[in-house]
Amino acid sequence: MMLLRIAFRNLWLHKVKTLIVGAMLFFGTLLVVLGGAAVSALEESMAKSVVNAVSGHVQIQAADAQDEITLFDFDNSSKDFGHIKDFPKVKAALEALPSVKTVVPMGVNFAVVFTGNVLDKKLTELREALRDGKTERSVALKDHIRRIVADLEKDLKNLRDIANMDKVMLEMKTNFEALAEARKDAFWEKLDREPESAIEFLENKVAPIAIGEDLIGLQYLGTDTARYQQTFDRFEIVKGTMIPAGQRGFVFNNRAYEDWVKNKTARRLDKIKERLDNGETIAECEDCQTWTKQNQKQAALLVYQMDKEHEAAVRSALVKLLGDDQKTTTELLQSLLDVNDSNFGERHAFFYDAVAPHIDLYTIKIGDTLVLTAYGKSGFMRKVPVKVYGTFNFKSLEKSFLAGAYSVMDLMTFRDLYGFMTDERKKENETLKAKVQVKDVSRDKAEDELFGADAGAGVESAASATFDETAGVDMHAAGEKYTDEMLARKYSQQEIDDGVVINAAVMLKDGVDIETARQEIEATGQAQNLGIKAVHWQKSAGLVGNLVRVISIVLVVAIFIIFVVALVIINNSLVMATLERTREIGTMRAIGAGRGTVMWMFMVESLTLAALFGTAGALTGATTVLVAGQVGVPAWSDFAYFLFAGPRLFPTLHAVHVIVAFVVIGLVGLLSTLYPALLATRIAPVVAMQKDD
Amino acid sequence: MTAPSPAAPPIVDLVDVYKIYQLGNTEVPAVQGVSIRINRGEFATIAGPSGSGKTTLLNLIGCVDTATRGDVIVAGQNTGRLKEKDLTRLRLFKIGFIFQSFNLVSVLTAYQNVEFPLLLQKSVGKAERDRRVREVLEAVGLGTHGKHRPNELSGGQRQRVAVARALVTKPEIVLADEPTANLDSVTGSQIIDLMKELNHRDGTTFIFSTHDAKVMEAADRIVRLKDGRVQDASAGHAGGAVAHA
Repeated sequence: MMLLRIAFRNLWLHKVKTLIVGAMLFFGTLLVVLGGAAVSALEESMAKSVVNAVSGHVQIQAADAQDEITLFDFDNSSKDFGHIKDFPKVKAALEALPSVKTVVPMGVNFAVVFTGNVLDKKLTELREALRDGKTERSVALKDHIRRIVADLEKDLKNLRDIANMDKVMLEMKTNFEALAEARKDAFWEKLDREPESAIEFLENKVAPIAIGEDLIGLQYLGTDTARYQQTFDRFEIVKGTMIPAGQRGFVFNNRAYEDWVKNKTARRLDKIKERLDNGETIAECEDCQTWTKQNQKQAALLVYQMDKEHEAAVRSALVKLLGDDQKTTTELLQSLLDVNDSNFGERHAFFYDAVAPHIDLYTIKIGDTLVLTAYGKSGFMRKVPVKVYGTFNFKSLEKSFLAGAYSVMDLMTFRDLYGFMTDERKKENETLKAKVQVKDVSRDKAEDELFGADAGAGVESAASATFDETAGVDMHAAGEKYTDEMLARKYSQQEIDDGVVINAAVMLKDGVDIETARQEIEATGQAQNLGIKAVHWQKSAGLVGNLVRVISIVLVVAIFIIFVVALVIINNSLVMATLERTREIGTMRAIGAGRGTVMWMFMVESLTLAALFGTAGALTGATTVLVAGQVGVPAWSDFAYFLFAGPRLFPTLHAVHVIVAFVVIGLVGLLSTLYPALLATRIAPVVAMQKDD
Repeated sequence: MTAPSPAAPPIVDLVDVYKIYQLGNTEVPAVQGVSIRINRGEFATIAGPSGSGKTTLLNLIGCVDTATRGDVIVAGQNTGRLKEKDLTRLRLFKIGFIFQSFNLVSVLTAYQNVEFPLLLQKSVGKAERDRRVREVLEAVGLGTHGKHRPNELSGGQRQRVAVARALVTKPEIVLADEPTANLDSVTGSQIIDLMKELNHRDGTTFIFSTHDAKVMEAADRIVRLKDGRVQDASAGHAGGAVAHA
């Protein structure tokens, strides 16, 4: 058609303008197609990882709960997710639904673990060595402890010199007295005679002065561990083993384990290595420099951990490496840890070869029993020991602190920590309490009776030690003792299911629409009076679920801005063109072209532009998505890794995105032309008659 | 040449036409009480000095402007009573325009420029269109220049394209506003000769404005304007035109 020809000719004549506007339209369409594909891919991958790590497709919780379940959020401590009344019944009812594959009971809570400082640990070891009559070991330990005490005194004096204030002095006075006492030979002679009172003195008066005590916060997920492992395929054991089926136990989230349990110096070296592996350099990585400085500053803490023999071994290796035998071990370690881009590889390897074996690389080791402290539902602090079996990752979520924050434990331990009591149980306790001294007749208790409280190594509930100070009246936990046998007991499925369950993850069968299934579950709950409500995973994922939404909003805003700018520019340039072409348009009008023809002439021009560059953009976008779908987009950072749910994102092309791109670009073309086209139609034919000059 | 039959109605009939432009608060009269009749087949010129109202008069006849007062009857239609759409149709089907500065669409070739009004008419088939465009281009002597763009043609050639464009729709009147003003005198008289030839051949009415005495000589009839009024509407060499006033 003639108009099309005119449009092409005009576009060709104003090449620069056409290219600028075209480029914007091109990138706009490209962005719509790429962005659309990326957002869907992210949604899919996010769903894959969150659903298959923790949430399942649908989360269920008590219908009357105060707060809706949020699995990933900054602060869950103040929320009350209620509890499911009769889990076995719920499980049976839901698993009978054709769309449901499995229902896994759960509960989330937060606990802290106190890890003593080096002195605490060495004193415990000494006590054990003395008890077991290991003379050689106890002599070495005594020597090590004396050195720690000497170092402590030195540190304290330094501190006093720096902070020369009366008030500080007053506070430190008792510390100095205690240290002075512990420095006397007479004290150590006394320790040989009456070890217990001397060790207690050290524990109570001296150990608190030493730094390095840690308080580790752990978010955990209590669940039917066997079922959990079967159901959630993102879960994989990294170190150690999974908690044996039906038993009590704890597996650390590997990320939490590395971050909080690993020796800080070693962890910082790991982090520097990670950055370097990512292609950064120490010279340009500010964090790496900070970590290096911290490592040097805290070199003495490493030496604290070593007894004479270990220190000697480390020292000789260091002297060999650094060729300086005048310095102290601490100074040598400081030199070692002064890493830069040229020596990092060697130093890192050396640290793990020659230093790490002589220190506690992890303050809690696989196989240790750790004491978790949590505030239960009853409001009392509870302490429960649990054996650490290993560490795990959520595949692809491992790099996200937020998503990787959960550690996993069995439901029994969870319930003990959660301390929730049913009304029946409460009443029972009241009666028991009234009868006085009648022992708690819970299963656990019965076991204690059976095996005897001291039968095992006596993993004594710390509750027994601290309970009086903190709680005092909680009958259930008071006086309860956890024995080795109990910690290793295998619970039946009924025992696991029949108890407090806060929420549960429902895994659906393949291809089932989540929202439909969710409604079905809720309906079933109402019909059978189960007292539950069902929450879509995206909602229950809290922050993580919102992330994709936020990203898509950002994308939409970006696209919107691009197109608004394109609109304004196209509009402007067409208004200019209208003015430039006044004579031509007037002539056409005079010759007999109607307003409609003039209007169309402009529309065709814009639409041609939009169609040409829009098609190019959409094609480029589609090709890119197809290629990316084959090759995968590599994750460039931890955050991207988390978003991508793996090392690579594989976007898929959806026709919808291409269609949307065309609709949007068509609209932009039309809208931007409307005003200039209207202007053009108002040009009177008489202007054709205007003279040149 | 077809002699005008006295019984036939005039192709253009202006009756006491006024055109007054409003410039701020002052009224500027461009045409004051003009009454002219132009018969079919005439080769008429509107002459007069700059500002005498020549172009305004042509604009009124060409239906690109409307009179403030008085009747402008073109091809039997009183243009003052027509809607804009109908005026556009009137221009498209009955009137051909030739402009002082040629006014070709710069992005189109000579052929496409000539074809343009036929495309606007929508009623002419492709083959017929092609035949007419070729024929008219041949007639103006540009049979081999169809593929040239305006900027590849000389001024005279461009005006020939414009003439072809004006004639391709077989209009009843061709209006030309100072068609030779932008051309040298030789080329100018060639264009006038061409117009005259086509006037003779097809009987198309030509009305053109000019202030060039040599060009005026070619006209059958000269309408002299001064200050927006007709001074003398006497017949040219051929005679036969009537002025009411």
